Amino acid sequence: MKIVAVTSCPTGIAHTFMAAELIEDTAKELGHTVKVETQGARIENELTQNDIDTADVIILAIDREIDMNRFSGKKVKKVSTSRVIKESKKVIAEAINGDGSYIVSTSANSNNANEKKGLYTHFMSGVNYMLPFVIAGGIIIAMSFAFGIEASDPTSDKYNILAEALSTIGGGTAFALMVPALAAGIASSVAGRAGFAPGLIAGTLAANGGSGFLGGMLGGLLAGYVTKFLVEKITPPKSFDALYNLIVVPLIATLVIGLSMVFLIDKPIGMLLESLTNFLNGLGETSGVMFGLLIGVMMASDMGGPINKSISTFSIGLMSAGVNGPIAACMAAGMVPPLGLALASVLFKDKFTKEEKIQGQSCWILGASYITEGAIPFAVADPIRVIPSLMVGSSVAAAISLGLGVTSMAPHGGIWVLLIPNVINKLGIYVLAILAGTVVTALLVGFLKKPIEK
Amino acid sequence: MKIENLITEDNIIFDESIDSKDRLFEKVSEVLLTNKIISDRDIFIKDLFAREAEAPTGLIDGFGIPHAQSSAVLEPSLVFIKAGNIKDYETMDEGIVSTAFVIAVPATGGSDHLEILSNLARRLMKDGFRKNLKNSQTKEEVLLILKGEEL
Repeated sequence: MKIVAVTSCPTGIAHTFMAAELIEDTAKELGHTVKVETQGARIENELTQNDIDTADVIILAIDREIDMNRFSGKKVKKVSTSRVIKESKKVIAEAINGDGSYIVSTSANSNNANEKKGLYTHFMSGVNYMLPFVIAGGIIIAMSFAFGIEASDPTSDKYNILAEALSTIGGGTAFALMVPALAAGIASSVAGRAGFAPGLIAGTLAANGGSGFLGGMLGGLLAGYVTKFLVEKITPPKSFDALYNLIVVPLIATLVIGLSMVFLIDKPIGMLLESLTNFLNGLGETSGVMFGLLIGVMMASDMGGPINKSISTFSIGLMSAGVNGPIAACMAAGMVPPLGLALASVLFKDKFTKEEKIQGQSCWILGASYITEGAIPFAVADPIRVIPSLMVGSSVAAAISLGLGVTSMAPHGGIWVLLIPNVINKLGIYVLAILAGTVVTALLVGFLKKPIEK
Repeated sequence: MKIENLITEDNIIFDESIDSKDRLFEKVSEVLLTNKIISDRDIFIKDLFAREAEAPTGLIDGFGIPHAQSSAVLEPSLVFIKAGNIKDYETMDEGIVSTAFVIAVPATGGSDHLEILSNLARRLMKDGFRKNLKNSQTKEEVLLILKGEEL
């Protein structure tokens, strides 16, 4: 008879191999052919689909969950490693007779569902890596604003050395590491520790290349899967194992990901940026509700990415021509996403995890300070529902602001400039626009998001 | 890498007075700390107990293999102990543990030692190997047995 087995234990150091040895020895003693896959610190002697398909008996001696897709539709005998160690003969006899065996279900969607759930887990893991950078960085930037919006600029007469330091720490450093941390977290979630470096590199390329957090998400996933492929699907000869893992995997993974980021993601993004800028320059008409809606959609679409950058840069450019409406609309549209999510996390408690609710509290400060990036962790966790909600809310705010002729003398600063007299020409309407956008965002997020499964 | 890279005579303990898991882990941690293999005694003991909480590591035939992957471990290492009867150590065959391998693995780093350890785990399932270890009287003998069937 042909027996195949998988053994696995929590630490993957001892029981996995003890059980494997006993299954091999006992099966051979009884005159069967046998192959045992060990899932210890890494997978060894992996069963092929052919091994599984041609086996007469399948034994899973496992103390933790393993991927069951390979076994769908097959009859398996599942036991603990300790039962094998204690009475391997009995376990094998039971498996041959089919005692306590069961058929692994073959739901057609199981593969797909697992992969989707996997993607969500990877994104959440990335969010966890990124969060400290967003929260600490965002609040430190807001602290720098408190000294005055230009206090971090050495050429300004309001220059303050502490404000400059805070700006360097929060904006120059913590925020610069946000997308690299996101990508490294996603890649580590996919490929384990080997994914960290390629992920970090992909994320930094995304941040520097201007594709922002969406580029980081894509780069992190790509880095993770390329590394996973290199580690799991290619088995070098044993003597080259150390060399392969230490040199070949990081080198090849980094090259593949790096080149893909530069040529397949950054270049098209650069072209998109250019065409967006050309399109905006060609618009001419720079007021009114329609342009406000456009500002809102663009500001909230990628929060710090190329689309956001092109519209805010364009609006700042208009300021030098004395046109101060669009920049006010940009600021409103940029404040709304974190504020809306903060409000949603208070109103719809069952739609957010405990961590997200705490994170929601920090979004009040980040939103009020026009630090749109505060919304990114929520957007990464559930992009398809969250990003459109943010776009609509921001469009409402920007359209009201621009439609009713609000102007701003400052390009940045959020609440820290609103409080300075005469920076905003119609402060009441402006606050109303921001509130309206916030409420719309919060309601949309609340309706679209699904309750947290517990 | 060979098994001698993981265990030396310094890591072989004969101490009949060890009669509980607490004493066992304390003794092993003291030895490992003295030999500069772990950086912190308490963290290592805590991690050993954490692994025990998942599932006791008592085997059959009076053998136990407490093990932990711990941030306190500086380099992978193996300790062999012949103790007294450790009554509070759950086993798979209701036997009483008196012989143990403690496996200390760092939380991060290379993987060269894993093959040695999996090989040791496999050998522990051989009756002859266990019998030889149980009958051993000196540190030299234990080392010879460990090196003996090296693949």
